Amino acid sequence: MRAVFHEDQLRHRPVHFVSGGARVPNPEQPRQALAILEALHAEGIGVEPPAADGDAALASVHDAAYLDFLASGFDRWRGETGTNGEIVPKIHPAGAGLTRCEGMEGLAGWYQLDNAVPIGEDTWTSIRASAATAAHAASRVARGEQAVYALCRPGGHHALRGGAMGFCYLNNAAIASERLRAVTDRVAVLDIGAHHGNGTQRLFEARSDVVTISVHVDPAHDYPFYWGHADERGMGAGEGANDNLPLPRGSGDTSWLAAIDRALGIIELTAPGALVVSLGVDGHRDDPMAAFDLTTHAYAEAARRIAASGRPTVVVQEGGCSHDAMAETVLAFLRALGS
Amino acid sequence: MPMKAVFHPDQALHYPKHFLASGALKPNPEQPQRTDALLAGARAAGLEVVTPDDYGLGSVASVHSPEYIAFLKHIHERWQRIEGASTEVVPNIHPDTRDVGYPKSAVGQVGYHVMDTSCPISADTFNSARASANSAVHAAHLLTDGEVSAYALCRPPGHHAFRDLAGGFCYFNNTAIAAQWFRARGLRPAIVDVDLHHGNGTQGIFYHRADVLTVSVHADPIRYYPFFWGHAHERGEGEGRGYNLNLPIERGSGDDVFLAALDKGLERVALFAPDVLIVALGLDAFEGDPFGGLSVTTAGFGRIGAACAALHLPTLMVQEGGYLCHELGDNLTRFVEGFGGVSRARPIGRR
Repeated sequence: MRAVFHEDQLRHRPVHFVSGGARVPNPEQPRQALAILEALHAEGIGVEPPAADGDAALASVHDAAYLDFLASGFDRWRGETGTNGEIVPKIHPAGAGLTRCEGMEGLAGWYQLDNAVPIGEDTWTSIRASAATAAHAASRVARGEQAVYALCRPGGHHALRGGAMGFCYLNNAAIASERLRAVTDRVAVLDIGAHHGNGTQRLFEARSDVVTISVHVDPAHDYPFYWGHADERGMGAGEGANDNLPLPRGSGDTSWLAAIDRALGIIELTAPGALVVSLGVDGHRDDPMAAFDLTTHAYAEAARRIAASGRPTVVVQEGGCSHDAMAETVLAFLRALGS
Repeated sequence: MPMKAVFHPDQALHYPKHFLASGALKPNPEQPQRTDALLAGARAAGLEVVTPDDYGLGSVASVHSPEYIAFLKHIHERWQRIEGASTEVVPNIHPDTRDVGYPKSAVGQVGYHVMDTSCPISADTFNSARASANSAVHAAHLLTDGEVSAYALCRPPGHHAFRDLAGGFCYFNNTAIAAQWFRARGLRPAIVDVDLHHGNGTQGIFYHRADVLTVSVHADPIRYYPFFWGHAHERGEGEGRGYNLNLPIERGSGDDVFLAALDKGLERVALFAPDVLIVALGLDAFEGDPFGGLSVTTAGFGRIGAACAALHLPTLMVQEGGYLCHELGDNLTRFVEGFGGVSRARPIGRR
């Protein structure tokens, strides 16, 4: 098994975050990726940086104006507000907006859907490197490797075509999926992060060539609230090509693995040529947000069942707060996938 | 008989503490002391201050969804149960469309119903917003009872509130509630919004309707609040196409530019030939307002009042923005005096 990672991914250091209306430190920090990197080295898994191949992969998923906002926004924000602080949204179109404006304070709300995605001086550098890591891993699989691990950070599965949220800016899993689409007619994305992969769902909800399945904590009472409900099944040409398998908060290994089995059963029926796994390990019982009560064993078992399908697989790292078991859980997953 | 100003003391209970500007927390400018300045301005213009009756939730519910009203009524209490929650309710995450699944969680509902950080919700917010709406309805009632003009000292203001969205210091859309009150009595109202900021909530509420004309003169939203609404190309949709007119003017514009835009708006109103005019009366286009977006003078408000009066229509003035500065009350006085010197309107139903 090969892993992909670029050190530029460590530069993004978000500060602003809001929880329950109170400003608290942003928990998405480089230490999570560093811990995983260390574990990969200890395990003897080779880590290579992504090849520089331009931003075509980004444009395959995100709209050009949004990419421009991410790339040049910080300098414009600094110029317009006279502050040196991060871009933080103030007002949101909330789905009722009619016209995109030009002022940065407005654009921030147009493109940043929550308070978990401030944009600082190094954000663009890091998210671009994270996306390149996903694209590179997918290219490896497209050229015949059975399984490659993309150590993406920042994560991506909450990012919309033109929207950042939930610590995510660019949708790495979607970028990997588009890369795989070049070599196969159908790709399946299995998202096993604790929170619904709403960005990935929205990006492909009207398409049948990328099947999206997500196992996550019921959004009725948990992030991301507005998406991830069982009745969202895709639309238009994509009707039936999206499945959400929400589980109650606090679910343990048995019910979670049963949902993974259901998801894999659906994926089998769509016979994809390749699989993308959005790997969040924030359902682990040691995670500070503790959405589920999963053990490391459950993640290893999920990997064994995924590997049993025999499909070429890109594993894309998603978010999750720092906890002692995080790197160990990722390693257990990769070990079981490769065995 | 002097014109009446309608106000209820409960409107001053709501006391928002903060809002976010350019990423930094700042004191919220929509302070209860505004009502003192505006009452003094109304009295100086010779208005008689009266207290509104309670019109119940029916008038509010004629504009706002019951889902939203339930949210505003209960959210502060529910918010307090969140561990580590802030005292005031403020949003965090927002949906990208209105037709997403409705969340059960308090945090999810706040982002669904509150569009920005300018309208925190405290224990008193619901009652103050209800009292503010009562003032608008009571003043509308004065017109249907035969008076030719009335001033509703609405605070919290309303013109940024949509049918199920709070924003920009606004919770219930007092102007829209008054318009709907007139509609329910078979009258056709036109709304002219002269606040510094675009009346996006009022526009949104009537955007698909041809029975209420909405006109707004405001600082160009291309780089100014509310950013996503108020652009000249927004003309209404469906049945409402052609029944919304936005007249954005350049930031910093003074009396002449403002009045030229207002004249275009009033010409449109005259062609709609309404039974009644509602002026969404923001005073924050003033050159000395803390927001500093436009440069209208105190004398300019007299000219704006006179221009509105020249339609000779029964007219309801509904207070919108206008923030604490020395001249806040004077600006209201001058508007009312400018209006009173011109209007030859007859009462509704007596033409």
